[in-house]
Amino acid sequence: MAPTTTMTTKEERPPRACVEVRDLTKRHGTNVAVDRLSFQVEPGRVTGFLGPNGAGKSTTMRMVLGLDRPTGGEALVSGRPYAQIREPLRHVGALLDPSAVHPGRRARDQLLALARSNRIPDARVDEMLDRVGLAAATRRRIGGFSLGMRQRLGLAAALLGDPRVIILDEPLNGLDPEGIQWVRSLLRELAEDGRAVLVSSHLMNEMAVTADHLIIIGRGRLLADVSMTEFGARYGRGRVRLRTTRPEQLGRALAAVGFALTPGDGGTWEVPGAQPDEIGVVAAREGVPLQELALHSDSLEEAFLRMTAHSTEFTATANAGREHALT
Amino acid sequence: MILKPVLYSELTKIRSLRSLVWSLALAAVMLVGIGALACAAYGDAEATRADYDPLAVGFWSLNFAQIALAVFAMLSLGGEYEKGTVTTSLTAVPQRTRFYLGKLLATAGLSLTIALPAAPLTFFLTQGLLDEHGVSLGDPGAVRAVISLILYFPLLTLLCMGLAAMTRSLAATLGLFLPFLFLLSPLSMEVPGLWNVTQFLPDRAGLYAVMNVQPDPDVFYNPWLGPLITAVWAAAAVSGGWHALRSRDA
Repeated sequence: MAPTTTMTTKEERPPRACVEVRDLTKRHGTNVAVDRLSFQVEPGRVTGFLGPNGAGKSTTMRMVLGLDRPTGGEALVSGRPYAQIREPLRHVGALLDPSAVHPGRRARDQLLALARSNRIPDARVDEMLDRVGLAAATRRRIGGFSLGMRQRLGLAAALLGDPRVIILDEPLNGLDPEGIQWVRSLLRELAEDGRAVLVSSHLMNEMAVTADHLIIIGRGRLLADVSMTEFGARYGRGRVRLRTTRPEQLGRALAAVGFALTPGDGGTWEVPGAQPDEIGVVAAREGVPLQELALHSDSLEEAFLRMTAHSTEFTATANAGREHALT
Repeated sequence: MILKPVLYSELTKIRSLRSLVWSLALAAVMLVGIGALACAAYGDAEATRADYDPLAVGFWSLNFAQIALAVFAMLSLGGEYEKGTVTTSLTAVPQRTRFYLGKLLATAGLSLTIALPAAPLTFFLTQGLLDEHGVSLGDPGAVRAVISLILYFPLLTLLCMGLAAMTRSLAATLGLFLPFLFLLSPLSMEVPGLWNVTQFLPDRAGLYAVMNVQPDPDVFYNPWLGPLITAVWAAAAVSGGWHALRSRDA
């Protein structure tokens, strides 16, 4: 039994909120959208689901939510297939396409219809509209909403049943900077509550500041299943940037210890794959003056692009399991 | 399998869309209004014709009302595919049979609710306007016509929803079925050989039971069987839609 807090008055919850995907496969004719994909979304953290457009993220999410039938494998939410959950909005909150709404319906009615199908009290609808900042627009028809407002409405719908599992497909799309900030802190809050949060994106930079854990897929296959920190350490290749008045002398000394000094831009020099202290020691020993010495990481976005650009090359290792495909 | 929450949810969906509320209201208004207008304006002239039938004149407006009703039914189900909201609906109610049943019952239930007062009202209003050329409820065929009319509303609703569930496209359902209902099916009555077959079409069978005082010698079945024939078509469409909804990806 998981320890329960004293505040818990809600109905009985499944022991562990999580999403498990096992050997999930979806074929449309000869085209393989999702290919023997396995991963797990753990509670208490934000899991970023990354991949270029068309990598199979949405298809995977649709299979998790029981909308598309897998060709092979299975997807479980808190241990059960989604379609077997009674009143699923109380367990799983999902936002797939914020534009999939009837433009003629008022925001409040849209949520009322959803809430009532799962016996969620009407009062909760107003509470959620307030929480996502749409309190002033509850009586407005959705047709007049901006994409950002539709995202907020979709998030309100996802949170209606106070779910332990949250699945969001590109929730930052169409939001203004303030909205993005808001969604990020919302996701953090939800994860800190011990909920399992799965958020897809095709932008690494978005996930770098949002997710704790990353699941990266390309062409429907798992490329990496790593924590954000580990991804940074592993794939954000280090590179030391420096300025010196005697590059030739330093270059020779560095070559002797296995580093290469290459010209960078703006009169700087770079040493790939090194740490600043290693270079500092060499420079001090040689008596070479340094005007600047700093570590430069490749942006995580570049690392992500490198990884997905060659996704087919790594399929053999990716299929070996949930282990880090790139080593 | 508890249907009540789904029913409540579906009623909320219908109530919150103007297109649905108006198309259903229009069906009732056209049935009563056009019926009354036709009887007031052409009642006496029609009564002089050799093939005069007071029920055919009184319920002539059903030809128009059924179009609005079909649009209502198709919008209710086909609209979910048109706007992509079916994804959200099925996330809330992933048991597809339950979702489908709830939607069918809510929509057809509203059709029935509106027909229950509208059909007798149309009957008494139009027959009253036809005056001495009209029939009363005690006359042969009158009760059958009113009951058949009441049943025709939910049956046509179910038929259209089943079709929409099969095609999963509002445009396709409207584009295919409305011309059929409005043009091809009525025109087929004028072609003697064709009428032998087309009298078994869902709308012809339904209207036959509503719009005839006396059984037509050219029709092979008793007018009371009209609603049953419509029901068979509706059942076929509903089960076809059910199969599509269960087997295909949403």
